[in-house]
Amino acid sequence: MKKNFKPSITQFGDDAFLVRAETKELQGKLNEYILALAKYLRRFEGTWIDVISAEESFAVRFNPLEISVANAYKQLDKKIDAFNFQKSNQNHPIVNIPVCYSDEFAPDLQIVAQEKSLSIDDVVEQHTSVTYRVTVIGFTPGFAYLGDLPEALFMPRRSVPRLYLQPGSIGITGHRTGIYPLGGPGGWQIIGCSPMALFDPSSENPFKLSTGMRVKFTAISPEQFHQYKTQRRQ
Amino acid sequence: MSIEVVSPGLQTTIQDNGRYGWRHMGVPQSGAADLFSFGLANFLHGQSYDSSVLECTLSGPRLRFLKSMQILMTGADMQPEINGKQVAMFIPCKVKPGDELTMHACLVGCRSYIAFSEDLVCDAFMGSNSTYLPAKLGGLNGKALESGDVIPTAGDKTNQVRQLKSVADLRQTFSNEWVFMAMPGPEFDLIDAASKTLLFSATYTVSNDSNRMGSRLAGPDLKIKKTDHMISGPLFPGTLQCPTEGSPILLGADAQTLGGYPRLLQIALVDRHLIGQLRPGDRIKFQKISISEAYEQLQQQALLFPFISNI
Repeated sequence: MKKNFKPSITQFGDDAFLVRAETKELQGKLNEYILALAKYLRRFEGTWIDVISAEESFAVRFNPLEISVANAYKQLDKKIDAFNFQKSNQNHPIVNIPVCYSDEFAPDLQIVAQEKSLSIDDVVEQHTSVTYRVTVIGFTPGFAYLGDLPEALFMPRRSVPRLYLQPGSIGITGHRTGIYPLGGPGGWQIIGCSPMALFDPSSENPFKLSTGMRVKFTAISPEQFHQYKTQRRQ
Repeated sequence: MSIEVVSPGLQTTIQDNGRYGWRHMGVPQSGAADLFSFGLANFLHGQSYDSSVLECTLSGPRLRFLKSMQILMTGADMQPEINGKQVAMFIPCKVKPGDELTMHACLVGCRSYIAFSEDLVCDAFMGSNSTYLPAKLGGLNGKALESGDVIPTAGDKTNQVRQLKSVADLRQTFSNEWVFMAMPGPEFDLIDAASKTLLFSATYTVSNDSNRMGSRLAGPDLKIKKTDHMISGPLFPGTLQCPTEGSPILLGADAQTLGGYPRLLQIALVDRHLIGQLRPGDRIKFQKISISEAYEQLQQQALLFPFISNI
């Protein structure tokens, strides 16, 4: 790919930089570029304590007592210049994830349906109709951001986040849907819940999903949900 | 088998210097909420900088020792007692089998640290023993200590104890009124000029709804420009994020790795550890600092307390 674009590097506090690329040349490939560049930087252990990718930006964190801000900037800038972006042709398998969309698992489903002038069934139909791609992992361990959500379901984030969501909750916000692997706070609109464990610290590979993977949701009944959970415990 | 939990206190967990290098998989830093007090405990005690300690919250535990060892407490003053007799913080104490350590409630600050001359044997995850409660990982079965728990310890490492001249000053830095040095965050420009001034002058109060993930702050409303769908971006401990309607949240050790609310401030490294000492009801102000001033202050801190360069 031609190198006629350059991401911006800005300071993020006194021990991190934020890297953003919004150049037109990257349209459609911005997320892939960000993920690949972040992965490339992760290979140079030592300077960067963490390289955290988001969908369209990433941050690198350093220890200013070990490397000065100016030197950290220089290193980052040099590495970004040296990075050679190639779009991957890797075809990831599809992971099927069961979701129960019943009221008791979906505190915001009614609101989404009303807001979008759809029936509950239409919302479920839309949400299960698409094969999603994991665009980024983050928030809590194993939380996968999936895109693109059908446009008919675009909703803003809740203006006040909820204090507790049950593990497996399926949320939507903007053009993304995602699964909360742990119980905890969250600001997305919750339209269902999956009984599948997406993060298991006792497993050799604790993360069920990683970036690039494809995901499809299947609607299940509350009975099937409880059956699945019981089986998991055995 | 060597430390028995008689009563656990409000929330006592095993912590170390944190879990690094996995933030891109959503794994938070965790580790001691106040990394400075944690580092100080291991430094004064002559232990390696990443040795696991117990982190006590607001009201501490009662522990019975089943082995002889040496302990040292730092952080918020929980008026420790051994067998009912008061002992000093910041100074090593010898304990023998049958001795009981009681940590009381602290009135200033939020968290105390207990360092031991033996290693706490616990569950490591991704190279760290830190307990991360939301995912039930690390520490003792991924949980806060409970009555009846026994923490196995191994390998006596009683080393030469170090003294710091500045310990006396250190105690005075805890207060119920805080001023944190901060730099504008990536979305600072989403608030209007009046709100910018307000953010660096108003006093915020730490709400009850606070934990190791973050402290919710109550204070004057900020005018945040609405954006349609702000795309999630990276977050760190020390980021002040603010939902468009709602109170700002100051992120702590267990902070989520990504978030979609505007990031208005980043607390300077020199003060970031103090987030772990915020208690509900405390009042806090933010003072603007430049990157170069922040670096100067950090260097001064590192001259006085050389252990901070490791944490």
